[in-house]
Amino acid sequence: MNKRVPIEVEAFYRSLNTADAAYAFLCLDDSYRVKFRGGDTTEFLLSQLDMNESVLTQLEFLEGLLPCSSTEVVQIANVQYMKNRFTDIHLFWIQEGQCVLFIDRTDLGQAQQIEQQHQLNKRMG
Amino acid sequence: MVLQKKICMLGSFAVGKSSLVKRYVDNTFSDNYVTTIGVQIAKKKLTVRETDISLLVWDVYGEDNTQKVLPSYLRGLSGYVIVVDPSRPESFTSAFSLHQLVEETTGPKPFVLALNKSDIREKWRINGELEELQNAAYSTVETSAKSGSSVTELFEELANALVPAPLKIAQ
Repeated sequence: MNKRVPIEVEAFYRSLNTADAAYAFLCLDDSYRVKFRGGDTTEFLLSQLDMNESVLTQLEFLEGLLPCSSTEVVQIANVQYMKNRFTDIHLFWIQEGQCVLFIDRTDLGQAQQIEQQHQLNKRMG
Repeated sequence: MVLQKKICMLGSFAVGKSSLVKRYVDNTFSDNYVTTIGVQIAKKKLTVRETDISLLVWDVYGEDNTQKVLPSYLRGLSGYVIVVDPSRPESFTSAFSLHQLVEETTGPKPFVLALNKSDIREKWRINGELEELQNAAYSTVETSAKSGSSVTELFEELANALVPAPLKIAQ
């Protein structure tokens, strides 16, 4: 089910100063099934997840990342899990459980790619 | 049941990490060098000793003087490939530091050392610097993403190290 964004997720997102980038989140139970989700889930292809199955079998790129401890905040920047789509992934806990937050970084990632490519081309002659 | 394992491709910039992944997963190669930002994730299924395994391949951006690999990319890895370009001995330095970073971050994990660009072997300059890394590796494989030589073997070697060998029952 979709739920309004919990205040903890909203506060976490705001603390990142990501200039209103699109985002979506999943809140997971102990078996990594989706308890609830929110934000722009369609944008991140999260709206079609089967709530009765572990996300590890549906979003395989999460393999190895879960769980994080209740005191941990993990950030993995610029994950390209689809062609030309860059996403930052944040793992942290909220009252209801393990939270996985996706923030769209496509514009930034593509700009970085052009700049880095330019630098490397110069460097490698 | 399919065993899922995250593996990481690590190494200096432009040693051919992404090319090895593309050759292995899509059987394609391009001479145009495209730099990797962050991490690209690919998947490949294979069978090792009758166990189905799904490799989630994290192709991590190449390390250089200005950009070091962040430990968070290594989270939950089961094994890794360290790629060097022996025609650029400076890529050995990154290989050593990345190996050390994994050991410090996750503890020892199986890894395979890829000596890439075997299609230009005449330009290789190896003077024993890699011996220590080769000794620590599960194996060393000479690969060419360009020709496809030994690319499948490279990933199969690592997969072999990730699937526990069956226990031998004493008669």
